[in-house]
Amino acid sequence: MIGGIDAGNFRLKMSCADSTGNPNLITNRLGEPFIRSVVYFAEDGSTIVGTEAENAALANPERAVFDWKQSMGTDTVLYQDGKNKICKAKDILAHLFREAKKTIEAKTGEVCEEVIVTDPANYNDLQKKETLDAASEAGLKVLLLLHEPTAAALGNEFHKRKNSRALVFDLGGGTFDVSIVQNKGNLCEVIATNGEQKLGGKDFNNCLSELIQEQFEAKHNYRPNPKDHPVFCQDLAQRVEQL
Amino acid sequence: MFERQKEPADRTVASDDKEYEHLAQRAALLLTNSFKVLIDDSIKKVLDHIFIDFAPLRNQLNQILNKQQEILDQILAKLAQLETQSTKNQTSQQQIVYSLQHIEKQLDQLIAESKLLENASRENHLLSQEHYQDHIVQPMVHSLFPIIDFINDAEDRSGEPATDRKIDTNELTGAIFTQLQQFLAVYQIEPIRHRPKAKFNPSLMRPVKTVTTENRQLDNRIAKSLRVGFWWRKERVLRFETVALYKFKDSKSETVN
Repeated sequence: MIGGIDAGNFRLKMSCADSTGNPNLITNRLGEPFIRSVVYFAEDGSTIVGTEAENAALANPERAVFDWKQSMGTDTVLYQDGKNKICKAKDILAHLFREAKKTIEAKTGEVCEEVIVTDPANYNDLQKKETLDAASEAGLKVLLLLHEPTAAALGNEFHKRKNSRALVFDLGGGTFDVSIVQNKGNLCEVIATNGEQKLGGKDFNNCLSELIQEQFEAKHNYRPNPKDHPVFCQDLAQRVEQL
Repeated sequence: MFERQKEPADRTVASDDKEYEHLAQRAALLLTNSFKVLIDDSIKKVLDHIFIDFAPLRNQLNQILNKQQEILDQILAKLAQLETQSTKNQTSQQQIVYSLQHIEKQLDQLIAESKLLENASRENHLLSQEHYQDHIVQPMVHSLFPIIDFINDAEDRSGEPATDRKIDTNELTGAIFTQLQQFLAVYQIEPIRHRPKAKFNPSLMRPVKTVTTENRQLDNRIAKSLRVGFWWRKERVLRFETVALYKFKDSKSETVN
């Protein structure tokens, strides 16, 4: 079975084609249609990936890696344990790919060894190679490395239009990219791309939370803070994310 | 012309006659032959003449005949081709007819199966609707009745003097909580709640607060369960239990009372 993986800095999404050829998002064991892009290195040497890693990271943030994507193709060390084990972005991506493979197989009941992976349109050759290496480490063969805006265009059947251009807005969890794609035969080609690496859905969430808290404060003359009202603040964050 | 020979006297007149007759026959024969030869020659000459005079015509005739033969051969060849083509066409048409008949049969079969599926789907829908009503909605609603009763009772008694109230607030909330737990248990949804000092498990808990401790053994253990979590069939976490965690020598947080 061939899977599709979009590894974002905030969330990794997986899909597979159903019997009619339409792609379906795959949910994780919590019922979420994504894997949170967090890797946690437990004290016993094991690795936790996803929402549970995020939970663990809330207790011990120094053992977790959140933002990894911008470090692809660099020598930046994102995690180092006491035994001098070094983890770079490629290794984090390999952990995410492993979790994705496990999730796809658990959900579909089929072995998944081949995938189509998306990468940012501005990735250089080294970043692409590291993406392929990470997949290989996770036991996945990448059949096609597709630019994220191209995948978005194909997903909207843009390739069926002849000689057209489209502007693709990719507002992810942590980043925002804008690309212009153009049809060439049956394929789409990215002819220009740019983006803001520090603007994403989580910034919108923070703004909304702030707005709600301000309105609450204006009405009740009191502002709940995470120290005194941790459960309320967490609820607010979660509900804002679901909006 | 014919010299008459002398013959003995005793010969009879009859023998003379015969001889004359014979001679006459011979003469006639000669004449006939001569005429025949003459006629034959004449005819031959005439025929030769005709043959020579009509030779070009004959050649033309032969050419025309040959051409006609060629055309005839071509027509026959074409007819043969047409016949072959026609045979092929007939075969193709026959195959198409067979294919169409096959498709028609399959379509009939599909229609029949589709009708069966449609009926089965309708039945399933009705059954699932019935099942949904009987086994999901009704028990759910029934589970809610006691909760509504508790609240109604509490409301009724709230008008009575405080000394006469038989249910206090704690009792009421406790009863509602129990009822709700029973209601969730019907759907195999169980609460996740851990006691203080239990080991932190990120698969079931979400820490939102830390509590400083000087006891190293309490590091990363639960200081307090802040909000109950829920999981379904002990497999899928529907909501993480929200906890406060002990952190060894963490100066940022407060202590739990």
